[in-house]
Amino acid sequence: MRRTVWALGLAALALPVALRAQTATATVNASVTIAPTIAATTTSDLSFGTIPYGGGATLDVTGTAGNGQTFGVVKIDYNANVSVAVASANGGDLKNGTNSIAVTYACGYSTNPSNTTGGASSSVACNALPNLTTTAGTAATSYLKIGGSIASGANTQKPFGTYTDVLTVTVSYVP
Amino acid sequence: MRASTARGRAWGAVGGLATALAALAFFHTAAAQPTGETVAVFPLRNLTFGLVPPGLPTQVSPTDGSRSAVFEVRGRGAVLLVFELPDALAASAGPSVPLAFGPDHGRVAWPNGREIFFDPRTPVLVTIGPSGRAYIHLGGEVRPGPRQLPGQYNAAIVLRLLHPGT
Repeated sequence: MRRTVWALGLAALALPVALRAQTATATVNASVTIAPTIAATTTSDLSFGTIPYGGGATLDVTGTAGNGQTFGVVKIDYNANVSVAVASANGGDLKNGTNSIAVTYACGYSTNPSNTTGGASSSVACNALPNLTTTAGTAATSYLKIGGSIASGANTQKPFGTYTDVLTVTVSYVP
Repeated sequence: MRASTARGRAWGAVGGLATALAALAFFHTAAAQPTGETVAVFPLRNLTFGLVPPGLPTQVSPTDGSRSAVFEVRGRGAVLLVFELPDALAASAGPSVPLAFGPDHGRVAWPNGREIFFDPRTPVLVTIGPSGRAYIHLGGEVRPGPRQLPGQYNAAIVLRLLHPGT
């Protein structure tokens, strides 16, 4: 019995060393995002052609361009999911000096590079384009077709001449 | 007499056991109370390499004010820092990006402005000063291949503190 008590006593004396040695841990995350390959190349400017006084014009990205018209075409190469945004420098107007004509732009994606054949499966507002998707690392190419419409009479009381706008297409990686 | 002797031994045994339990309780209390010898570590910031193109090795310095990992250590006395470092960051789909650490990728900064650099691949002993705080910064280097698949890659980094309690 006495030996047992001594053994307990020794165990109790040895225990503090183990108890007083403390450990603590904390964890952080390490991360990297590998950028995809993205390229955007303008292959054609958008042209509504010549509009008679009081007339209008339409370029349907799901259809075919009319005489003297061309779609705006931007070739997009990507190997990961990307978003596409189109911004008008004139807030949706074609301008000639201080004169302007309102335009409603419309966009769509196509596999057809032609600037006179739309080929898009659907037409949407250019600020509501869906993302382009592909399996990560798999190269893909799409053609953004830009068309739209100018309402009939939008050019009444406007001086004749060439009206222009600048559209900026931004393609961004979607992680 | 025999009975008396046996009773005496029994009391002696109980007394010894009580002493042992008291000692156990004392040391357990000493270890559990915040006597200035306890240590704690808190994660303050992740190690973030950001957007990196394929094929371009990219470093984050332990002095980087926004991308280096940071831990806060609270306590007193000598503390052994031991990192569990992954050798790659992994994507959920399976591919990985090699991750490496060098001799100067660890840094200890004290509130008084003093700092040292160390190799996070090996344990390092540091002393927490009177302020009771020190900040452990960690950098590193990712080495994506030229055909590295795009996407996000992650891994966990663990910092373990060993405090002898001396």
